[in-house]
Amino acid sequence: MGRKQGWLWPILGTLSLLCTALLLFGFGWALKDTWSPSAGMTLPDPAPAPQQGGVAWADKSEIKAIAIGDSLTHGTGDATGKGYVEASLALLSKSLGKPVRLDGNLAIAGLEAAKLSQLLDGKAMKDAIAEADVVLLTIGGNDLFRSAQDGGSIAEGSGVDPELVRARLPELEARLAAVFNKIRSNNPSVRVAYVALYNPFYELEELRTPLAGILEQWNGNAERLAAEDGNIAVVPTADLFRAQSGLYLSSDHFHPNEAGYARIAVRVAQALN
Amino acid sequence: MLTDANSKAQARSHAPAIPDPAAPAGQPLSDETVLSVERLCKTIRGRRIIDDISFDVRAGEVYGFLGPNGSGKTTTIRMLVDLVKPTSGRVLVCGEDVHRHPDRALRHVGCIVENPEMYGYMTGWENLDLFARMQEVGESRIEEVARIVRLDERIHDKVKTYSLGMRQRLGIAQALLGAPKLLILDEPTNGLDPKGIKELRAFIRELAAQGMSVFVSSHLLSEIQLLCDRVAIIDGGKVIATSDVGEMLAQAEAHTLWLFEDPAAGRGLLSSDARVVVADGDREFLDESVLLALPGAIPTRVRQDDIPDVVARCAQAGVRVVAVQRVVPTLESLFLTLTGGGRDAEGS
Amino acid sequence: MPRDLELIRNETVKVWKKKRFAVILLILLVLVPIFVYAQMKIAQSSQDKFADWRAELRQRITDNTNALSSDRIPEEWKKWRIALVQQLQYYLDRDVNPNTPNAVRFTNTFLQNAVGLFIPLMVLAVASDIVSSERAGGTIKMLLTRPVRRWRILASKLVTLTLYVSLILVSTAAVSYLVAGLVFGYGGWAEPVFVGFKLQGTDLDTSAVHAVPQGVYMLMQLGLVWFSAMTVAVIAFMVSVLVRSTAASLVTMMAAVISGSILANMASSWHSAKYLFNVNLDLSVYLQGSPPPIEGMTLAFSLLVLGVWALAAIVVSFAAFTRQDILA
Repeated sequence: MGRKQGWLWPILGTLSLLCTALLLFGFGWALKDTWSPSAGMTLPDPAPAPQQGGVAWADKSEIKAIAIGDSLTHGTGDATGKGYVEASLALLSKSLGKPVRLDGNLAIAGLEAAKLSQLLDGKAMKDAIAEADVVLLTIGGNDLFRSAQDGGSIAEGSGVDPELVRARLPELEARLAAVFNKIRSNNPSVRVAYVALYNPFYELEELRTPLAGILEQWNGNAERLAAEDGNIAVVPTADLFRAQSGLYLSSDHFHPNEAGYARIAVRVAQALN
Repeated sequence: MLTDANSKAQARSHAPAIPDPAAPAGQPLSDETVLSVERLCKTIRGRRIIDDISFDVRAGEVYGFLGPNGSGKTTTIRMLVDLVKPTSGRVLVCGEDVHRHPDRALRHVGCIVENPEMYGYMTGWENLDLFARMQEVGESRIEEVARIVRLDERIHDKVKTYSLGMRQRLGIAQALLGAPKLLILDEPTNGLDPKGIKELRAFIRELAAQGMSVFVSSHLLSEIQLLCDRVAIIDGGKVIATSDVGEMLAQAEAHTLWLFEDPAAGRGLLSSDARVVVADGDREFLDESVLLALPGAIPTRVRQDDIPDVVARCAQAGVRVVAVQRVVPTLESLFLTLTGGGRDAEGS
Repeated sequence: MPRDLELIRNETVKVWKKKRFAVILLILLVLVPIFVYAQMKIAQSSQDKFADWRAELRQRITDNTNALSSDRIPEEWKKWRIALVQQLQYYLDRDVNPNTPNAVRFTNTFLQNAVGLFIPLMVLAVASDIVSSERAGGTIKMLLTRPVRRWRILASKLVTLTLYVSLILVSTAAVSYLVAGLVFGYGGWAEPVFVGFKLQGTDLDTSAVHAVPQGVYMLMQLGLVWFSAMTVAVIAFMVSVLVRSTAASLVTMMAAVISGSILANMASSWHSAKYLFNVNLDLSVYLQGSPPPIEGMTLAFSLLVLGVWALAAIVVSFAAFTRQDILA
């Protein structure tokens, strides 16, 4: 009659006791690690990313692109959130007859050239540039218009004082030069498409002429830097947003809308190939 | 049946107990007192459920605890085994206070409180093993009690497959595990079939014969009558009498039913007899099944010794007697006697 | 003492025979594959999209940075994102992949997500039942009329509960590791994870940051999860002593745990909520270096709050259980 299950308790008891001991040990370790941490693992030094380049585009099976810069590259104003980047790369892919892969859109809305220049010193950005064949870049707009701001809202154009910018222009232009230089020093062979600035306030007559002068100067300076470099294409956009700018600007009267980005995309693709 | 119970009680002839509802506390304990309940009170939410209960149970006796439902039987039993803490008073088992030292006192107690509820998802054996481990009882004792309650064949089946009778037996096996001096059974025959009830009674008597005290609660006087040596009667939370069962039954006015060929003549004859009290009003206290067997019978109160004379007198008067039947007193008729007839028979 | 061991044995066997643990294991075996599948889909889609993990990480950092500039996101999300961005940057700068797909990584992430709700609920399956089922089944009458003091019976149940909580946690980790390994491979024990990030306002203090192997991280995380699971278990234990019905105590505790996970997401401005036990359950945030649900909470603080709650629950359980009248 004495049929009993001798195995259950020894196994269950031992197992659960071991589990409890293990967890208590883990708990103790967590406390020790939090309150008096040890040195931890030694990790190998981060290796720099392999450099692209040296190889002609024609010999590559795939072109790698990255996008950096400000809200224009991020796609602000486009209801679909895509901006010009993907569309221009698709066009480029078609004209090259090979896949173009976007290895990241690293643009941050509101970025100024000085901050971008700083980011380009970081390992993340260095690696990203080094691995790329193409860099799509927009920068400078925030530098210019924030310098011009005298307290009002940019979107309405009211607080913009062109004279404030004019005084600081040389300083701002130096920032752009620094960005170009850093990209180039990270990757000697990368092709850069720099989207030049347009005048979002073209329809405000009192700003049209003074701003036109400043933008001309900025874009001209960019052209000059590009020519010095030799592998940077400056993509003109000022003419795209002159006539009927309302059709191509988004509701903030500052960033392009979907149609506006589509026009930029065509130009960028053309400039790259 | 009645005479059987009487002779049995007489044969044991314990000291005649006069109804003694409030025995003084601190009574010197005799060696043979197994359970001693002293001035037990319980108040729940301002209501006094149990009011100053005292009684003693001696070794080897079957002690009845009789009372209608709701009289406080179950609460008292729960206090005997430390499930409920008394508001005042104490319970001693073999001299140990149940509420101060339950670990010592309950060693001598086996009990089933209300239904024998066991773990249905385990086998009978596993259940017994569980309780055996709580009180240092070995495996051989498990086999022994399983055999005693004749459950050894199904002991390795899951309890949820057991019938009520088997569960009851398993409950008793559990209660017997620790070889207790006192077995407490709360309405043990509830839900059992007549055969099971009979077996249980025989079993309880057997245990008592071996020297175990058994404390049985019931709301049926006949149950107590068949089983117990002594009884405490509880009503409304008070013990209204403790007594030898035989004595108590003698006290209770037994009824005699008379069935005549000519009921009118018979009634006239009985009414004219000084020894007989015709008690039509007591009809409601009598067992309905007995009344059903003798339709039209006349309930009376008459001493047993006088019955032959009354029957003879009827014969002489030419009134033909169909049947004369002594009726077992019911709890209600007992209450009637004990409380002087002034109480509501409903109990609670 | 040998008798106490028998009592624990009894309780352990009862829970086992009742198939409570089997049900928990079954739930794990059904749910974990679902999570593994979801994780696999995520890994596949990012593999299609990015050349390597660095590119993916760069994109994540950028996306989170851009999200920060939006005015519409709530303040606590901002804080969380700032910390995340800085942490990811830290990984990227040291060329350490924080998301290698492997079974150990999956298990760590799973535990981290399960600590607030999933694990407490599994623990409740045992904790809410262990006392109240004896009442519901009436077996408590048998249990408490044996010559054993009530506190010993309750203590044996508490020890049993502890054993099962441990068993549940280790099983959760084991099932998750074994199932995830089928898809992601069983490696990853030695891969580095950074711990020791400290949040100073919106800045991440990395001075104490050091790398530990993922295996060690799992052990530490399991230890912390165990502490919070034990707190939930002990409080549920108390509730089941007081409430008497398994269903009622289960519902009470589920409500408490769920409202805690809701509060943790929205109560950053209600500061005194940090003294509630259910807001403090997610101890793994301290290991990760994520911002706590409410400012000012630290590991020591959370451990203290949980500890005080657990201790109070134990005191109340024992006080109630040893005094209770078993009337029905």
